[in-house]
Amino acid sequence: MSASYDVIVIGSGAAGGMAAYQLTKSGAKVLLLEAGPDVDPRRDNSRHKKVWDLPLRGAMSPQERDRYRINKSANFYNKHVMMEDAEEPYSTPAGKPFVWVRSRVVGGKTLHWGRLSLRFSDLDFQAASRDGHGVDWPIRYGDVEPYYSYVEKMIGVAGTREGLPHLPDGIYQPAVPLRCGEHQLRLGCEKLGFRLIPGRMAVVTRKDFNRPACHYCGYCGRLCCTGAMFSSRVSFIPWAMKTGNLTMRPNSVVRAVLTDAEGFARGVAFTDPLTKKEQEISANAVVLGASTLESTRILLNSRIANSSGQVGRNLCEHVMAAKITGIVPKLRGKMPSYAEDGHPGFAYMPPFQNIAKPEKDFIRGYSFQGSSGVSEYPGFAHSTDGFGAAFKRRVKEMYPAMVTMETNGEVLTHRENFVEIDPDGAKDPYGIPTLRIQLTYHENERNMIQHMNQKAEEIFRAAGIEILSRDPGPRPPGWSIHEVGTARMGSDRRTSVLDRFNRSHDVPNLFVVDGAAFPSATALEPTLTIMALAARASDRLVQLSKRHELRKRAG
Amino acid sequence: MRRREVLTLVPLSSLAADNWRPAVLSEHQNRTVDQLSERIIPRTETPGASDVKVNRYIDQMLKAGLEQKEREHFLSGLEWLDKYCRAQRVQPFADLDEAGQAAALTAMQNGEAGEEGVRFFRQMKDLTLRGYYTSREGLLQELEYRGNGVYTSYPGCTHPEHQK
Repeated sequence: MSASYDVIVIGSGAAGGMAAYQLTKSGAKVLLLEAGPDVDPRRDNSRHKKVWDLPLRGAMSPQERDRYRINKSANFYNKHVMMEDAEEPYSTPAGKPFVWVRSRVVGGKTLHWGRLSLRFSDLDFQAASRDGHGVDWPIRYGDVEPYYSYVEKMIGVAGTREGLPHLPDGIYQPAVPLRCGEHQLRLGCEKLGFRLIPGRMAVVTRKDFNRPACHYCGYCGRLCCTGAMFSSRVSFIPWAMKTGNLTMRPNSVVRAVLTDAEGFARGVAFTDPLTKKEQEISANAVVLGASTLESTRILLNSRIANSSGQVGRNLCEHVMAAKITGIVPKLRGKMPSYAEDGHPGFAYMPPFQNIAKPEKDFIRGYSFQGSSGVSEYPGFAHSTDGFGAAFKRRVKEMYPAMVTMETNGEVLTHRENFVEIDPDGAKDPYGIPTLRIQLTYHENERNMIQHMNQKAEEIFRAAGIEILSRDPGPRPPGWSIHEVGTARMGSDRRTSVLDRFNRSHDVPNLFVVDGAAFPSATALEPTLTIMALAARASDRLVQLSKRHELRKRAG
Repeated sequence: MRRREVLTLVPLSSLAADNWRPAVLSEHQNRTVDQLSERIIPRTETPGASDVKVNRYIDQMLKAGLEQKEREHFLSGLEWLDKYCRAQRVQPFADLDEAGQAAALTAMQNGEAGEEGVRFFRQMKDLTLRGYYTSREGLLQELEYRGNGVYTSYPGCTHPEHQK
């Protein structure tokens, strides 16, 4: 019996969307299964409603907040693409919370992602060789470089070329310039020998790729209503549709990848949340791009691809900590002459630790993100003392002078940080076994957090910024929404799940193309690399298929 | 599917209606809240909390925006306030003159009126700020906010003196 499709792709975000486009472009007949509904962000204009016209001025009601106790990233503007806690439960060991933010919707988390698009360097791919922790990636910068360029040219990244060896330059649209307060921050960084650069954001600043240029409203996180901000929903999915080779099926929750007697993937079993009936569909190859932990959950529930015992292991992410807020004295009362909060990004301070010389008490690195100026709501007023006319005047003066900064630091793989199928047998509303997620911070993270806090203060002092408040952190694990690992790639099949092309060592016609494949988190934001590797893996799949080697096992 | 509920964007026109009546607050409580908010953000060269009807915002939050516990705390805070003002200055808060009201708020803020004073001051101030700075007048006139619009360019910092 011949299969219904050449390839089934699971997930429609950065990973699945990229794979679906790349495969259909090559002529493959692809079925894309997305667990959630299809929501076009361009058909929803709520982000531009005036706050005084919104019910409860844009706050969620207590009933709504109850539905997002864990997923605290949900707000009035994005809640319709955020998964409610009860919709898809998971468990954590007592006293070890993990915030797992998910978007079951066509486009996935690219609908509201942070947009920072950074290239990894060999410093990241070979980190283990330098410091002895974990394993090196089975690829080098030269392997990914053409795909970085390819993806940047498709998604549009506004940024500057800086010539930093540990943050390779890409192909950029014109950068969005820094704000007044960010320049203060930059001057402070430079005094200390660090760099602060415009964030490299996946937003088009010049009309391109059938997307209009950014209109500088500043509300990218509320879902971009024009598509100037890159999302899989606005770019990859329509492009894949246009090839005529894509069948997309939203509302399809995949339980497992099915295998045949010889151990090859033969299709998938999925459930429609509305009918709750399970169906099977066949294909010659399967690509998992359902997000790091959902892809791993599917692997575990399928009981495949795990001869290494590494599926679920090596969970890592970014720790967020050292939030610091202050005020630039010379900007007090200096209202900008333009809509300053319309910036589609922020200032970015690339990692500077363990590069030229090793740090004393931690390995790997962290970066700062800083932003300044006015915002739609003066949140600092709540922590400003007083009341009355003098208070009102003080708030007004401080309003344009605010600067805030926070860090993202690499969390190492650790034997205690892993996911597994819930040992108590918990299931989701469709009867699919759920995950238990366990991640805590260890000595390296603790030392790094201390360092982050010291540096945050040093930078503010060097910049002449008056410190108003500090939150040393860390925020709860998972908060960065950068969870990666759990099905890592590697050159040794005894210690890795995937080969250097994201292909399963055990099931040769199965690929995992999302963050699950990462051997380490690195200090950099993952999404650009996820997309580059997904495109690369898709090309490999097509190449193997043409050579009739898709079912050929490596020696 | 709840996530896909159509956003019901009912404007708060009900807050501006002339025949507005508080849904949760009594007439006396409403007067107290109105005056409290005005002491926190008074009218200056720009509108104050009373001008933008922060009392109506707070009444709506009490009805639909706060957890039950927060609502109970707020209402018991109002009760506490009148008791405190009567004990200190014979009259309930709403009947005090501006100076008397400001003195009561100062005592609450500084902790001289006890723990409940500190707590209720915090809650009242938070709600007032929220209501005031999300109002059209608070955001556009007082803060001179000009964002959330559509622009063709983003100049960034244009001050050479900020950049060196």
